[in-house]
Amino acid sequence: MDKSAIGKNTSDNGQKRVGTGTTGLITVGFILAIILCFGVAYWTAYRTVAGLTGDLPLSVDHNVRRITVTGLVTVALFVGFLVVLFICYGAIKPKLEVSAWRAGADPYIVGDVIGEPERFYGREEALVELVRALEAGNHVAIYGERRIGKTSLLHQLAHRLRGLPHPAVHFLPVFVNFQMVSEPRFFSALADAIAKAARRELEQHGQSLPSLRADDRPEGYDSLDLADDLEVTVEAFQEATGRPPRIALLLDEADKMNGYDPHTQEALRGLLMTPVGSHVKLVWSGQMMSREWHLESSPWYNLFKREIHLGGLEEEAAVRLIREPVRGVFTYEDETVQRILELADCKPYTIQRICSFCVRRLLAEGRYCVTTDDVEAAWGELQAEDARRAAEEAAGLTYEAGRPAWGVAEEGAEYRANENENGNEEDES
Amino acid sequence: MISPYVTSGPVTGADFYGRGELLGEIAAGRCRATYVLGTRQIGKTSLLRQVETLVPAMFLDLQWAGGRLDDLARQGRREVRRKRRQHPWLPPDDGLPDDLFWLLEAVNDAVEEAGERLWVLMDEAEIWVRVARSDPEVLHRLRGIVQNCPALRVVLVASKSLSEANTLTSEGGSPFLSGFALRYLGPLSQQDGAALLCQKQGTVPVTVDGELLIHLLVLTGGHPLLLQLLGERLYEEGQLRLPTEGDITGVLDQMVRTGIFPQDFAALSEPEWAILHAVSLGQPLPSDADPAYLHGLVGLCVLRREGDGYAIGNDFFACWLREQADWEAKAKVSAEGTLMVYTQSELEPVLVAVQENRLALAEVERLLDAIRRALVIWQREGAPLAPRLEAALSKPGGPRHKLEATLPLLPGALAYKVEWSGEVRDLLTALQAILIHKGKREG
Repeated sequence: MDKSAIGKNTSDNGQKRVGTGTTGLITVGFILAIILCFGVAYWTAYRTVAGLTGDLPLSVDHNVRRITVTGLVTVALFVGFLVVLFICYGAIKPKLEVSAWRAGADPYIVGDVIGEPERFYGREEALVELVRALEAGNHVAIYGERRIGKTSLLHQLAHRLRGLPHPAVHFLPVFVNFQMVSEPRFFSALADAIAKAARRELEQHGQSLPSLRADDRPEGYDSLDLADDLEVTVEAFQEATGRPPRIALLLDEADKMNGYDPHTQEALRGLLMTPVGSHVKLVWSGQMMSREWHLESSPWYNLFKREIHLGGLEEEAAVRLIREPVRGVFTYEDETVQRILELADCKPYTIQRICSFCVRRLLAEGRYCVTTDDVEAAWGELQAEDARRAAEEAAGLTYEAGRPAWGVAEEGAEYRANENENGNEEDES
Repeated sequence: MISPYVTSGPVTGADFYGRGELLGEIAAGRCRATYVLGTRQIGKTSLLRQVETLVPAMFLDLQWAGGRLDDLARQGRREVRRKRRQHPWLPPDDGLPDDLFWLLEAVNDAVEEAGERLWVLMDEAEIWVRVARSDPEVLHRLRGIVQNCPALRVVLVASKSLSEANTLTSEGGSPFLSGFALRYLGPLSQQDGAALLCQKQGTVPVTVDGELLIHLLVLTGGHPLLLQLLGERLYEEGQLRLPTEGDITGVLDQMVRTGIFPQDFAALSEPEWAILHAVSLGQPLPSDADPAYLHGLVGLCVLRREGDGYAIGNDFFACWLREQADWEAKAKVSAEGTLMVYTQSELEPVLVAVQENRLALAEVERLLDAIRRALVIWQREGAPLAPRLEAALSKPGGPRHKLEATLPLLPGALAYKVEWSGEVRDLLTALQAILIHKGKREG
């Protein structure tokens, strides 16, 4: 399997490039088509009405007739044009897609974050539960193994929370990837992320966020400073929207907090227990939250009464994940789909890896139907690749195939915690 | 519809139910120092937040400060700065000392000068134990604040782990908690529990079937978090449905995963474990079970009175005790510290209550003397004690009405008497036994 191709296949990028050009062309095409239809219709109407009367100039009555005929013919021509266009597009689309896939784009999203709701399959129950919990003002923990789709789920949650109608609060989702948040800058990182998201949101309401302590990135910025900054933020939201914000802190890769000093965890809990801290609700996402607590105070993790465990997709969603991205181009036999589900245990990452491999194979061989043989071949290849990766990891090399260091930030909402004063990213890894 | 039940963080305002009596007492400010003792997630922080809405208060969260005194002082200055908008008689924060105790003294001076009072609310106060392990002097200084700052009313809320503060300070002075009025934060009353489930203070009340309401109250023993967790699970379109087996195990799982039951268990001493073990298995209480423990465990809502005996405070904890509790573990909380809390800490409220009832200590003495004489006579005659006690106390002109008024306070009074003389101590032990026996018969 061509690994370099996988690297390029962040389908968001590929799709977005194609999508932008196509939209422009379609717009110009439509305008030209309307002008053409109108011209033809006017000419037809002019000739028809002139033919009926046989003399010129035309009376007022004739003008009304001519305009009516022009309108009707324009509409008829335009509808006809659309039908032809639709038929042509249906015929060309598979070829366009195949050529895009040949060029390196991938209909499946392997290892990357899925930001677009239309490309995200399943997890409806989890999303509904998450939204309900946040609406009711609760903190939630999401557990799941690596690459089960936790980050994508957080992005989908952020998407749903934006603009969610709520009678009492204004939802502000804030994405924080813990992968590179260092403990000494923990509260400063949270403050930066919240401020960034708040400023963008307030701008939409024609307001701005006053300056915060965190703006100067002071040394030793702690939870008390964050409490003061939160007060400013809450007041600004109250003024701009008439409602206080409910800041949903979406903490990705939050396992890293397990290794934090318990005093940092205590400080976070303490902050969340304050009146201003009650505007912040955590969505902790990781493989497992540590339950070790040797202090005499309340353990920080007792905030999380609600937990969501992510496993494989529901079968119906998994089938859609297999078929939808290549619908109209490639087909899967029913037993092939079943075999994929069986091998992948309905886990989305594995499904997409298998399917991606199969598509490459079909493209190479010029076929259009995925068979069980393709799946078996894909599975063998993936097993070998995993074994190779394990060996490399054992040898001390790190390898994250198809997975960028950062997920795609939806509308820039993701906080990259280790930006330095110059706005450049530090490499802590 | 959005569930109105809150399971994360403290509840305030319309979400806060019950505790009216305790709130009234704290807000009245009769006690200079109060220790509100409660199990995990029983509503201690919510209580303090509610107090904060009633009186001028400075809120100090020891967990937020991580037990660091300088961070506590920063919190103090921040609180003064914020509260000064409402209470201009508070001193300007920029001139306040960096040392927490000096800061409290300075604040006290300003408050006293203005003829006002300020409540100092300390959340997660068990962290004082951590602080004191490295510097026991800190507890003496805090106690000094309580004694020497008349304009301050100090309210500590903590689990029973704070009892270790007594043992840390027992040498070289009075135990830390002596002088603190002990108040238990137990379950919600039936009425308040029902109001919570029905969301009577909410904008949209919840419909709950009468039988279901009683069932849920019995199941939870009035534990507010259990009520909220069940309410959250059972809420459907403005009403509560019947719980399924899955709901019950789900709530139990939540209480265990979040460490609430294990931590409540770990905050008990070995004699208390012995009592719980017996009660959870339906066995007789250990013969050496000190009534003070029973009194304390009931106050904590770990136990509840049921018929002529005791039951575990709620069905969920009972289930956990039967199936998962590690009875063989070594207790981290000492029996000594626990007893000191359950008995000695009650002195202050007893004294306050006695004074309020216009009953001089001499009068209490006289009553107890009368009981002692009665006991001697009854024992000589070899007749059952309880009916005789009842009969004697019912005699016209007898001290029954006064004794009845004092009965709820007896455990504290007993402890006070323990320090007086061995004779009285023995007498009171006998009296306690009679009262327990009497309670069982009446139940």
